[in-house]
Amino acid sequence: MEDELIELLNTLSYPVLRQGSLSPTAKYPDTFITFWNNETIEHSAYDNESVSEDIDFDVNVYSNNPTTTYDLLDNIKVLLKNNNWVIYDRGHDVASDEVSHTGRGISIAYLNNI
Amino acid sequence: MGRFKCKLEFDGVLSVLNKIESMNINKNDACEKALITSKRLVNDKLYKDTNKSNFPASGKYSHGQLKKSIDNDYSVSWQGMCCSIKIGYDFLVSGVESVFLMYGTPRMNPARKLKSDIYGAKTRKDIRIAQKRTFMKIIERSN
Repeated sequence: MEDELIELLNTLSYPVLRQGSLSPTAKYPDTFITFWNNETIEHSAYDNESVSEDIDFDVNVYSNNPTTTYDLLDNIKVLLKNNNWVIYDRGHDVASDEVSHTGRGISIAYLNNI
Repeated sequence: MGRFKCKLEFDGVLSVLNKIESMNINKNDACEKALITSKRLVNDKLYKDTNKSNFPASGKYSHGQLKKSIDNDYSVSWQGMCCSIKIGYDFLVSGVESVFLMYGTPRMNPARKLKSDIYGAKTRKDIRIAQKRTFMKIIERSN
C-alpha cells in the first residue's frame, strides 16, 4: 500500500519524500510532502493465514507558506478519503528543521485485504 | 501533540461494570484503579524505552530531559460520568522534544519505539488486558 499511497500523493505535484530521508545538507523544497509507515498489523486471520492488515501512516506537509501547509493538507485529506483511507488524526503540528517552514501532519489508516 | 488520554475500553466492559454495581462495589473507584493500572503499564514502557538507543544519532544530543518529563501524576479526572487519566510526556518539562522524536522531521526519522509505546496497537491491546484483569481482581476480592 505504500506504493499506492506515494502514487496518490504524487498526483498533487509536490515532492513526496519518506520522513527523515532529506540529507542534512539538502535544501528544503518550498513545499513538500513526507510520509512514514508507523506500523502494519494483522487485522484478521483465517486458517493460520493473515486475511487483512491495518496499515498506519503519518503524512506531513511542510511549506514556507503556512496557508499552503493547511490548504494542501486539506486537499490530501479529501484525496485520501476518496481512496478509502481513514483519517483518524485530522491534524497535528510537526516540527521542522528549518524555521522558514511550517509543518503539519495527519495520521491515516487503511484496511488492506491480503 | 498533547498528552494522550488512556481510555477505559475492552470487550464486555459494560457487563463487568454491571456486575460490579450488582455486588455493591464502588464503580467509580474500580474505574479509577483500571485507569491507573493502564497508566502504570504505559509509564513502564516509556521508562524502559526513553533511552539513547532509541533516539536519533544514538542519543548523542540527548540531555535526559525527556525521561524526566514522563508524566507521573496518577490523578484521575472526572467530567460527569466520564473519567480520564493523562499519559505521556509533559510539555512543560521537556517542551516539544517528544513531538520532534515521535513524528520526526524531514531530516530525521521518527523514533518509532517511543510512539508505539503510547499509540501502538500492542500497547492498546496490553492496556485492554490490564484493565480487564483489574476489574476481575476487584470482583474476585469481593467474593
